[in-house]
Amino acid sequence: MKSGEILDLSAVSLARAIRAKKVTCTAAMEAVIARAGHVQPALNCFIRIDAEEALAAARLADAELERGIVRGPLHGVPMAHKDMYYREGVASSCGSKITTDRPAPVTATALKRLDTAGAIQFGVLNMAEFAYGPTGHNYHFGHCRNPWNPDHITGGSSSGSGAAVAARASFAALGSDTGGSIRAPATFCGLSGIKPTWSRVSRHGAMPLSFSMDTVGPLARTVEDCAVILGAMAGADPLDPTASQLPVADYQARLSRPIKGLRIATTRRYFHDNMDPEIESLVYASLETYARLGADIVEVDLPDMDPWGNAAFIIIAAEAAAAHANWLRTRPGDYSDQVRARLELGLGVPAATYLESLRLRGIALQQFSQAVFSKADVLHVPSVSFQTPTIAETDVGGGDTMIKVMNTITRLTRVGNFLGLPCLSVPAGFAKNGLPTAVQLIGRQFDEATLFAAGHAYQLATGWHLRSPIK
Amino acid sequence: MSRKPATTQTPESLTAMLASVGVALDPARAESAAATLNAQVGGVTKAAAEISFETEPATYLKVAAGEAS
Repeated sequence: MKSGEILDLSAVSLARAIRAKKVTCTAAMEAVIARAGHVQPALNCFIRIDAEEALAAARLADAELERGIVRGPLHGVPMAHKDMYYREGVASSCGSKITTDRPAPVTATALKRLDTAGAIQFGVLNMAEFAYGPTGHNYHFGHCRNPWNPDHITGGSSSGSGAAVAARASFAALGSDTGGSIRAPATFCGLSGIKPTWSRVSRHGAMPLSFSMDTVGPLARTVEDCAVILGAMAGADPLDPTASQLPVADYQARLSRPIKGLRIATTRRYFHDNMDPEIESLVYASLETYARLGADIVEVDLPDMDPWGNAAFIIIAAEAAAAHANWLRTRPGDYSDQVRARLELGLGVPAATYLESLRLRGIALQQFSQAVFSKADVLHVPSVSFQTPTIAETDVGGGDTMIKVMNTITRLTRVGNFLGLPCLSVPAGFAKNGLPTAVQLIGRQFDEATLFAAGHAYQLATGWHLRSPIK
Repeated sequence: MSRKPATTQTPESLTAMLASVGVALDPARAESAAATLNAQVGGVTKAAAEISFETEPATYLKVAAGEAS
């Protein structure tokens, strides 16, 4: 198999080809490292590539395969990850100047579980500074660029994850999602991305931003990849007491559940406010595809969600400020203006308002669940309401328009974090400017399996996810 | 009875609050930071009428963990 053919495989397809001995782990690793080096000058998606170690690990994986050893469902699949998942003894930059020389004290549970599944990490990816930015700008490592058009943003904070996977420079990548940081880059780069239910994946060894909103999940080329990768990572972890004890479904086995009769909700409220008409028509076309596949489309009315967006803002701001308070006092000059300005806001949140925001979450979840899940299995809504902006348009630094830009980008995603619900972003077509957009499917708590089945059926019917920005 | 709009912070009060925890707020940012906070806090305050007196802050964690009855 030629290098380009290998790189066009999804992670799961590559794993199958490796197990069938149609491709060696070494050939896959060589191909992806070469592609990474080729796209890096234009996209700036990597912070570090560990070529020698990764090639050695790939050769070992080939030798294991020769002896009949298959580590797991991702045996030999090369992956790079957002540079905020710790490996003991190695510094994770977290996209910042501050942690660049700070060796990690532990290895992230998510990485350990991907290692166990057989994936091979070959590098770390650019990201927003401390995962606190939705555009893909990084004033320390340079801005990350969209492979579909490098003048445009990748979305963030998992910017390098979006750019590298879309550019076929990684077969999949971990992101993190606190207010939309997996779904925004998945949307703008044309990928599938899952923000799981809060607590579904251990956060041990993952850089904290907002402990009650942070989630760990993958960006990948297919929903099937997301299902397999999440399945490898999810589950209880004694090192993270907040990780759920609930059993993990076999997501891959349930991918081909029939869509006929699945109740898919649509709504005109909140998610369709101020929609770009071109994006909205793609969203409705996606809904029509589901109707053709036999899903029952149900219209639902939602409660007033604007205050939930405010509460999400307050929670993230307060929790992030608490995490960073020490460095804000001792190293304020080592933050970019934008991140410092956002963190400072959190120090001004009244304690009572923070607690009111937390108290609102259970009530909001009950109201939302009653409105949606009493009538439907999944809510189908846009991931963003606008066309992908340029890097220049959103280069607002720490100025007066910063919050408006941030809030506009995350308006449709951060409520999912506030409610703690699983949200799957799936490519839903391209605007006339050639840039992709997406819909998000929102499910019941811990019902990622239904989202994966719905997303997989859509991808079998459409093929938007198969388009590549690499000519 | 009409509710007073929330005015959580003025530029001066925000600057003083951050100073009290050892952080110096850039004076050029104080006004927009205070306005942002007031808008966001105001939204939460509006919704807070729905929160009953007995609602515990920890409840959402149990709900989110799927352990609520």
